[in-house]
Amino acid sequence: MNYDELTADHKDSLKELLNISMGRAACKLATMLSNEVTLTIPAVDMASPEELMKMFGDATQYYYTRQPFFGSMSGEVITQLTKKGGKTIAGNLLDLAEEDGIDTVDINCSILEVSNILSGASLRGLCEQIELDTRTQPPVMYSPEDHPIPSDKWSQAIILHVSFLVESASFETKTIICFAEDGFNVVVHALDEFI
Amino acid sequence: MKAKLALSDLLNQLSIAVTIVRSDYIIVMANAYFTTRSGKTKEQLIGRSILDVFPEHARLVKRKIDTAFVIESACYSSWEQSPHTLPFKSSRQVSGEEEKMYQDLEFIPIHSQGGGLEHVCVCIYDMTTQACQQEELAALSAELRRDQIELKQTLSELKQAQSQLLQSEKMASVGQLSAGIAHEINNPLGFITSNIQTLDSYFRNISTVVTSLEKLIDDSNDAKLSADKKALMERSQLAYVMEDVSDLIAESLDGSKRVMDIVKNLKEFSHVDDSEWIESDLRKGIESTLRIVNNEVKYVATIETEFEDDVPNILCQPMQLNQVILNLLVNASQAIKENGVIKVSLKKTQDEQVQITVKDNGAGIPEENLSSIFEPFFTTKPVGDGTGLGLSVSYGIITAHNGTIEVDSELGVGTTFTITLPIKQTTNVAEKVEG
Repeated sequence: MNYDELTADHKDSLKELLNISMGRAACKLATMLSNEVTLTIPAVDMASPEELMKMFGDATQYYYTRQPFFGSMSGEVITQLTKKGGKTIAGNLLDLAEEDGIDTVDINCSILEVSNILSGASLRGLCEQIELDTRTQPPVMYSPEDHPIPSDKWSQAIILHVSFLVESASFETKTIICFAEDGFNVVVHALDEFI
Repeated sequence: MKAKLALSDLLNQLSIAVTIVRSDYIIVMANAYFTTRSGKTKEQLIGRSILDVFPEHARLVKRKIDTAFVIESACYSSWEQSPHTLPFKSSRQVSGEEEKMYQDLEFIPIHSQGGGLEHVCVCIYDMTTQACQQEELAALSAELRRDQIELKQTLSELKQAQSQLLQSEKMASVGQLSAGIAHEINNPLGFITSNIQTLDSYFRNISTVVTSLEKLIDDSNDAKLSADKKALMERSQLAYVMEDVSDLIAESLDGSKRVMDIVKNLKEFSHVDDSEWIESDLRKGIESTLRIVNNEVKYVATIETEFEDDVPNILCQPMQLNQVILNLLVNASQAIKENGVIKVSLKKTQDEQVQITVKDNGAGIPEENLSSIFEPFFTTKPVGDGTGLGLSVSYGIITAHNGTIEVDSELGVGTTFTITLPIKQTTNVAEKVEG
């Protein structure tokens, strides 16, 4: 794969597209949680497996999910969600009160749902804009500590990442969209068309 | 029309349960697999709200359908979080033990020709086989973890038992050796003592004879004889010799008595004959141990004892208990630099137990070491000075007596070991004794 093809224009376009799609995703999440959701400016990077691993924070402080997507472009979305505020989010999302006893299953359920809302909405937003078709598979819980990103499977990937903050619950998530190597040319071609 | 029929036929052929639900939750289509597994007829499904048909998990189903509409993308429910979202019967009705189907659900929003979202397709995947396998694996894994913990514990106990066995065998050998030596010393010591006593008796006779002869010479009024006797006595220093021989014999007798005491203590301490369970007087055991250890302790500490009178004999292995007391006393003396006091007490408690305490005013044990002192090979002594087995062996011996050994220590103040032993032993020990 030749990454020189990803020009500054490509990166700027991706950021712009991502900003719109992530904005939509934040809006959907806000609707689902009935809480205000803010997001950071999206970033577009090239990353090696080691660099991607470095993007993950302290494993004791975060939940992680991973969710494959396939179609015209394929890859995986990895979502990092703070453990802090997880219970409040689960309560909001599942419509449970503290006294209902929110357990690990409830928290995992809501973590997976939040991940799916963000990745589903953002991928859909992105695809719509560059007229590509993609579908997600179900998200699953992930532990980068137990299953680190393999270092010999690929060398560089396009990484799109953005953080969402639910201030009222002190809950923060980071969505990292990683494109698989064979999806690169499709994205570049679609971006060229878009530009 | 044909295409519609073909699609409907295809949906009915699928081994996935599929239903299409309107945004008002009304079921508009359900395939054959869906009706079969749900146990509902098409009439019971079509045109009715999915929330009413399956009220048990209506909240979750509603949320998922709503979410799919809001995010305009598929949303999911996994069997790991919600194993039986819809009350479907297990597909393994003959061979499977489970009654309900484990399911993964997918809620896919469907765009109408006008581009709007009006329907959600709900796909129910049968995950029963995978779920059961995973649950079996999880159970197996938990069992393996339990076994591993048990194995580790057994290994640790085995190591401890091995070290205790080694130490016990070593002590038994030392005991046998000292008993053998004591026996060997005892024989010559017996005739040495007997000979000295005979010598003492003979010498007393000789002394009486010499005194009588002197008196006879003095009373004979023979001046020359008296003068010769006097000269002879002065030359031979007989008066001094007679007095000194008496002292030498007395000292030798005293010495042989002390050797006899040492031999007796050695025999009592080793108790080779008492390695089995017997009714024993703890006081005697402690006293004999104190005599053995006295040489090591006397330069750094004085020993105070406080033995209550009403302490009954207990069923025990006296030699083993002596070894415990010896270990505690040696440790206490090593914790003291000089002018220390080691207090040993023995009493009967209210609850049919006896209590032995060994208290010293030595350096004390740091708090972080207190939890480890009974572990095998734990030592703070310089390499070569301690094996780290003394207290672990002591712990093992006391445990074998169904007793407890506890430690209380404060740095710079001292340490107290408290041993509590039952007066009457449990059935197990009693059986061993009878056996």
